Amino acid sequence: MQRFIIRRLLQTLVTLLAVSIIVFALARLSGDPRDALMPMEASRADRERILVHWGLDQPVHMQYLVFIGNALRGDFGESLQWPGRKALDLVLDRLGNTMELAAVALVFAIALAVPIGVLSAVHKDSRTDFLGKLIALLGQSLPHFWIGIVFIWIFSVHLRWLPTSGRGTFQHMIMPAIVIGWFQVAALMRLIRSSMLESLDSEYVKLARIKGVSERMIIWKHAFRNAAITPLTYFGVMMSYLVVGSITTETVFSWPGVGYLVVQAVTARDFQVVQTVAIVFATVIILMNLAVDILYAYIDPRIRYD
Amino acid sequence: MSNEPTLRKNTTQRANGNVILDVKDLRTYLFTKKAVVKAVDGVSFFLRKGETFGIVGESGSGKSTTALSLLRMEPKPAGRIVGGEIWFYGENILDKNEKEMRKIRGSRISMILQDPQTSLNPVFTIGNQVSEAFTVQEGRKNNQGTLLQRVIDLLRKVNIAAPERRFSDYPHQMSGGMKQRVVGAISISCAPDIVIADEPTSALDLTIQAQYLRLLREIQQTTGISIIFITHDFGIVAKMCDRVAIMYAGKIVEHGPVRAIFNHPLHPYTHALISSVPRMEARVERLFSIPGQLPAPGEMPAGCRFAPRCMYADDRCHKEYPPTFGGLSEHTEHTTDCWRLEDPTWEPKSYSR
Repeated sequence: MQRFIIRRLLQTLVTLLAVSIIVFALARLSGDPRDALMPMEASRADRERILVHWGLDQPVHMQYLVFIGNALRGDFGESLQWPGRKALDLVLDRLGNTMELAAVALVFAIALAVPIGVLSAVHKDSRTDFLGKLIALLGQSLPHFWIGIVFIWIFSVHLRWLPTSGRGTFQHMIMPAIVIGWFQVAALMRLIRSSMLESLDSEYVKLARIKGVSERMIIWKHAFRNAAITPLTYFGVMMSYLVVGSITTETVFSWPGVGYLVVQAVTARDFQVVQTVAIVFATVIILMNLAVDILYAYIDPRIRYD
Repeated sequence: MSNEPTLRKNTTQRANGNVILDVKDLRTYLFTKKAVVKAVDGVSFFLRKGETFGIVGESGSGKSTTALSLLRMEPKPAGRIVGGEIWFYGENILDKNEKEMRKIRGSRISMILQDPQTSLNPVFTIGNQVSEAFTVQEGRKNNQGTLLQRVIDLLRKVNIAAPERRFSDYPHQMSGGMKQRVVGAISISCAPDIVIADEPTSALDLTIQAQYLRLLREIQQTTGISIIFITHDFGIVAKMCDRVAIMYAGKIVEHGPVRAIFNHPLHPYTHALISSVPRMEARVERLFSIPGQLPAPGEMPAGCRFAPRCMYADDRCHKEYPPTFGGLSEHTEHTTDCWRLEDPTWEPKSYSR
């Protein structure tokens, strides 16, 4: 197990190196940051000075080497938009908020998808099954920003139950978390449903029934424990959606997270911050996938990594 | 159509002495979108204490559905028991509710499934799965220490070496034969009256098969349980069973003591089946096989199910299901569903071999 983790961490480094090249190149494709940063009437001399100051006169590969060299020392440069602020600090300050939202969204998604998935497998083709599918599909087919705005309209404007935006109390978290999490319910619920159906039809469930095990224990102990393995694979993918989903949702709800930050940074062509966000997101997603692989071995005794 | 034997009436199917299970006219139908499949179509048999009763038939003949119906575990949601009685120690199992059935399953009637590779849950340890059989039936009154000891004793009973080490193994760490022993241990954990063995050895290789059959007999001798043995292998029937029923397309076509069935099969289907078992001493070019195949579900012949494949069939066989006839005089409890037996001296011709 230890060897497996070390090997995976080394792979992570290689992946991150690739990510850094892609991110660096993509950011360069988006245009000259001076167009966004400097006023139209700036003089040629001023433009030249800024170019040299930021090292943008160097060839691209030199820029990358400087970038990666600094990055390895934890220095992702200064924000262009907020001079004097370190890009990494800006991102890390807000990463907690984003992860907090993602965690609540994840809990919401699981809390909705597990019962719906299990019940619709147990009552296959019934009204429960249909209703479950409907709830799940609604979440997947409606765009984040639209659900967000409609929620604000219903729950904040009309009913005045929840605050429209910002962060502070638990109430602030409810709507954005549901918006992000709901999207995941459909996929997760369908995975659980199909693996539950397979599990419930298995010989070991038959044998458990023969032992006289109650239906509730059959569903939750014998069938679900097996059925949980498949959706777990999807968790890594899901985490990336939760993090990525934060971009629109945080903007709609003015949630002070990384997603909101990156939208501002992109608009301002704040290279350093965009690069940092991409690399931090990539790191988070890779680590989550590693965590899923480790969790895997705990749930399924047939998997041992050595 | 009556289930009482007619003619050759020197015998009776209703048995005397120690009958613990008496199945009468059991009907389990599968309701699919296309058709109603009469998987078990009026099956009657009985089981005595301590004996082994075989049910033999091709796949699709309804033998497994019969077995599952005894536990009220007919394949749901399509399957439903639509008629009959299952008398078990004077109580009709078909009158029980689900909660009462759970008390019977495992503790009084249990079952060994066909494939040991899939019948144990892959994510729980052997110990967990064996001890569950105890805790489900007895509640959690056992303390962990005695429970552990009982599981180990049980595993030892089914000849698992070093059971105290095997206790915390997962199924994937065991061989097929060992897993099937564990399933056997689970089936006898609560000292049941009846163990239904649904082709328990067809997934095992031949040497392991012989060992397993020996183990079952040992267990039967020490505990006195009755076994319903479902198989398609006449060799196993000869080795294991006291009495045997031959099933064809949802019906028991012949039923009797193993020796009577082997020496004097009266139903043309049984006769053909036994003739198709290869013999060491016979040198033949080709093995005998019965022409045709089982009727497709939903396309059951109106009369005798076997008539389309039967070399003796006449018009009436195709139109009307035959009554149940008693067997030859020297064999008691031998019954056959075949029109030919109206002639008390009729016997199927032997196939040229």
